[in-house]
Amino acid sequence: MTLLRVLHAEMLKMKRTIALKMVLLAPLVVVLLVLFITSQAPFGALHRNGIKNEWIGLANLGLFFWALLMMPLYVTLESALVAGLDHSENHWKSLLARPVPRWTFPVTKLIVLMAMTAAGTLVLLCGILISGAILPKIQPEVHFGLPVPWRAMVRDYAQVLGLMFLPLTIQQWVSLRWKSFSVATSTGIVATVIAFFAVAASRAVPGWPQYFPWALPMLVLVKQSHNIAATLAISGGLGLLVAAASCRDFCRHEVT
Amino acid sequence: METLIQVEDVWKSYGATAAVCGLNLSVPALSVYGFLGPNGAGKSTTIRMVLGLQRPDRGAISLFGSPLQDERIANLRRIGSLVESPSLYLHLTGRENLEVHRRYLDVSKRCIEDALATVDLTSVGDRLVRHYSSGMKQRLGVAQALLGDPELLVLDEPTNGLDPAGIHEVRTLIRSLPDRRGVTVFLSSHLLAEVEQVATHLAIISQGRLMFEGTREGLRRRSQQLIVVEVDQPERAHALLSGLCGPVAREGGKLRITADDDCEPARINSMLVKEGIAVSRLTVQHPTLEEFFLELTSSPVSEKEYAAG
Repeated sequence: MTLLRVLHAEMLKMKRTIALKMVLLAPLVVVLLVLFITSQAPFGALHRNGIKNEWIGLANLGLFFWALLMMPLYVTLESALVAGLDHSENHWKSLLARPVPRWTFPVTKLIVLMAMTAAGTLVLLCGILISGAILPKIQPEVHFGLPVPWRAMVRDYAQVLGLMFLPLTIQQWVSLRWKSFSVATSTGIVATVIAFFAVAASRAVPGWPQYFPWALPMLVLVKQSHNIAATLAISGGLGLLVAAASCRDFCRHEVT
Repeated sequence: METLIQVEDVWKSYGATAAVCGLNLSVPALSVYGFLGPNGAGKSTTIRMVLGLQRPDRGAISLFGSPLQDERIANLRRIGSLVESPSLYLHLTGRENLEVHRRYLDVSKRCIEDALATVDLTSVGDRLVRHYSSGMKQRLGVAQALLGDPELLVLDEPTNGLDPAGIHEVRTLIRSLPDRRGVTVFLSSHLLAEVEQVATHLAIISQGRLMFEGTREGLRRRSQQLIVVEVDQPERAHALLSGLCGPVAREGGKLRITADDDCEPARINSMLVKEGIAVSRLTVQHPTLEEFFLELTSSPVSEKEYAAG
């Protein structure tokens, strides 16, 4: 019950914030980018990497931009904004003097962050489906057949989301630990750039490991060579460990 | 009388810098307890330790008769606090800000309206806080602290950054709280004039040490009178008056006597005249509480010397 009350308070704090608007804005940027690319490129662009189904091709293109670039930056910004709500004006001196256990604060912030990341991914999926309806009107030669491969699309998007859990917990720890907005954002940006190179290296050199946390979501797009279920389990476990360590660190921290 | 806050031999340092040194405080129920000291004296550190935001290096803090950390949640349920500036979300309305804290406290929605009414902000409760004046924000901070009908209100420098009108608003509100809501107020400030007008009990700290604790009247009694006598035979007069009323200092033809309240200047005059010493001038000076406060906080004095107000 206490956790629910603190979660409700956390959700109320999000009202009218840029963090909440980002849930729509970030995936929409990716949808627009996908629409722009697919409307300019030849129809065959959706059949790259031996993909036969147009829906899967479109969904993978969206997932590529989301998993490699937008989602890590989105998580970086959202975690910094969510933590920043209480770092600013030093709200902690007031919140931690309330009759609730200290651990409820990092836990509810993590839940909110996960919910916003999931909502952003869901908006992207919806946007991809709408794109599939719009594209034939822009490029008459494009035909999106029915039925829509829901199961495969939802599975891929859910796996990307699951693989983002570990970097999300690391990012949340950094954001809560340091008050500075720039520490949190620069950590995420540097990690995203490293992930970019890790993915590029793994494509250039077959067998190159791609286990840098921020690069993990990209594994979904090259799933032939990886055991996604095992990676999900390991990264999820590590994510829980990071979340627990972050929680412990938060509870021991003194408010100055 | 029940003691709501008991601080016993508490020490706290940041690296090599000692912030609080062997502090003892005792806050009685239904008092307005003024906690005074210059900037950097250790007031905020003490308040943070009382609220459990920081841990003392040594010593014990009890709230409502039980150790702070043993009953942390139960104790905090009975306390409202405003530490330095109010913690407000500027993108939310006044009511929404109180709603956030109501959820932490798990109290009825009615409490929000009660708190807004107490600080006279009912009519602007739906306005975004970023559009509030400094005084309104400070009052909303007090309303936040009042949510859930706390028995103890801890206010750290509640008039910081306010204009005279804002200071008056907050001061009037604090003065009314014990009678209006049955709240004990622990109020910290670096301004004696501010606390003197509302406090029933006072504690003065300097460099982390307690210099005085007691009632306002007790503080007044301690601010002794100074009698200055100008005579023709200062050496004889000095010998005669030494030990009579208090310490006597000689400055040329003048004697300065730091006298107790019950020491009568007329008696000194007649004693000197009787001994054939001509008194050309006798003046009595009463230092204000502010002068006494400055004297206490500017010179290091041992705790024992002043603690029993």
